[in-house]
Amino acid sequence: MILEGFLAVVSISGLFWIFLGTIVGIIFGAIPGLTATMAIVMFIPVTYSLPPATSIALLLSLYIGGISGGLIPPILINIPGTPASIATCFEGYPMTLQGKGGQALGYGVVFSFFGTLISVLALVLISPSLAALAIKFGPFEYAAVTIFSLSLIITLSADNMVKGVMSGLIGLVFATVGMAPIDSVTRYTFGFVNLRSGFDILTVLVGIYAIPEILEIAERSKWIKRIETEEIGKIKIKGFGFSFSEFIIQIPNAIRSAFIGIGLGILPGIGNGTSNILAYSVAKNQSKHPEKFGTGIPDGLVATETANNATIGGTIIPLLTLGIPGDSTAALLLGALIINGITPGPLIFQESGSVVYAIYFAMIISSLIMLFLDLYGINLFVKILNIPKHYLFPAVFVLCAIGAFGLNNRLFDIAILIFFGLVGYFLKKSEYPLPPLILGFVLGPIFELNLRRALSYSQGGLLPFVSRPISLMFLVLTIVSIGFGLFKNSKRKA
Amino acid sequence: MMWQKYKELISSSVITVVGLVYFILAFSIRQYGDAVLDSRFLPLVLGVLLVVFGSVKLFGSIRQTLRQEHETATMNSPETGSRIHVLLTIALMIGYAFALKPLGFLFSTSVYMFLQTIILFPNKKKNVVIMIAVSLIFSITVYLVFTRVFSLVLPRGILG
Repeated sequence: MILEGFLAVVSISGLFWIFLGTIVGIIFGAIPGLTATMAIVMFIPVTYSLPPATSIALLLSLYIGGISGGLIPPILINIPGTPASIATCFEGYPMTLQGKGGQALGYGVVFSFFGTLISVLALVLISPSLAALAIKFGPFEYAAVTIFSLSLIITLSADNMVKGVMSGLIGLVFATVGMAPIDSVTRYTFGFVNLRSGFDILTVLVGIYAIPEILEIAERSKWIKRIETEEIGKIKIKGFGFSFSEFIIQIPNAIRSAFIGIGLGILPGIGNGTSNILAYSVAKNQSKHPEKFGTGIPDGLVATETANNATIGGTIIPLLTLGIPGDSTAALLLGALIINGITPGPLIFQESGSVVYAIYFAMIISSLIMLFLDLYGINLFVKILNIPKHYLFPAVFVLCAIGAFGLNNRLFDIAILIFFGLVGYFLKKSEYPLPPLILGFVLGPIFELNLRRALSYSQGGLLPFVSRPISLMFLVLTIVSIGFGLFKNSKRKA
Repeated sequence: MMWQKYKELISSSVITVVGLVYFILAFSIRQYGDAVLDSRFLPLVLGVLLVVFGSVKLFGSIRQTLRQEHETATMNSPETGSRIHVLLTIALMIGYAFALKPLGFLFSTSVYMFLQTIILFPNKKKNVVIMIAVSLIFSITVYLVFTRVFSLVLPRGILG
């Protein structure tokens, strides 16, 4: 079975498709406005003519390439291409401004690989037990997890907690637009049919981050000197830009972040959008020098990129063992599996064992390819910085507009993109942090859905939140993390 | 200038007002049955929180502004941004969004790229020919790649 799986993937055809998938994935991930999910959607028809193992291998390579490619724009131009790379901006861009852009890319790529590897290991060794644990998560646990994740907003915005909380609230507010969970009541649609489905995370994310960048350049256009871009773009990296001993130093951080990524990946409904920020916060809290975070140190970058790639493996676990997709991308993979005659679930190992092993090998090979491509590509990517901003950013906007338009073929989405761009610009100018907004926007629906379900089950009682062990644990973690954050904040101000 | 001095005041009042409006509009959300938490709950809570926090910020900024008035504020405003460029960019983006369907992708994108590049150009000599060339080549390349290779539908407009 193992051999069958291995051979299916390592054949000429198999390797070709994995290679292609990884490259296309990286390209899609690297362009803000395009996502790995889009790439997967586009390639599904291609898989109809391919054998099962190769089909899944192709789609997985697109996913892995996409999440890895997603680290390029946040590091180079401070625009996260996907929600999975938001926290990558925090350290990656400051590093670029210090002339260490190539090194940042190097860290990102290597630890993305590391994250995927660890998650495949988890996949291979402990999927059944992890799946068993995931089943224990009911609405109470989900609500508690989301409360905990939302409380991270407090720790993340240590500099200005009130503004951070307000930003998070604004994100939650935007998430309520559309049809409510459970009873599908329309909220804040003002009669617009187009608003019924709410705002799409991509439009919000790209609008909030990309457009203010462009507007700020417009604002400073009188003073942008060519020199600043030239200095930054001159880096040439040998290898990955950092030494082996520096790699070893980051390993504990990376392993912890990988587990966070795997953990959140296993929970259906929560994915890399949350895991990268969570891993970053934890890294910051546990670090001996938290005040350095945000100035451009590798630790934060390592945490983020390890976590978001590890989440991929984490998402595969419930997908294969329970047939439950963790997010829309996983749902696509589920569809692809079914089309190819593979039924996910507890029997998958008996019935389609070779495909499962093919999946494991495909993930490893795809990550290796990604590693090599990026190793030689880093110097190429950094050249992007040499493109004058007045050419680069209009192009970025057009691509973002296409990305937004391509979601649902609606020009309305471009208008929404610009709207959120204005919101983001206003908040940025008023010195409100943006990440809490995204966090609130992503977590809001999950939180509300599960809270209402939970209270429905318990007939309004709040006891189960503390009597159920997992839920209790997360609520305690929330209190601890908030307390810690407030304590550190008052210590700093003193 | 005005923004630098009053940005806290303006931003906190805007947010507070938005929170208030959000809260009031929450009452028009329909309620069904007797669920413990209905769809009105979260909006109401969020509205209250936003107004509370916004007011805290607002009062803080009012006090700060009053204090500043007493100090003779001869703040040298640091480089004041070029506001006109920002407004032009926003107008251009909105125009682009509206022009896409009627004028089609190729035309709108080329025009947008060209105009936007002019706006963002630093104060140096502009080479118009290069700008036109870049806009056209970029638009055509993107169009071909997205429609032929990725089978995405882009508006044809007047050139279709």
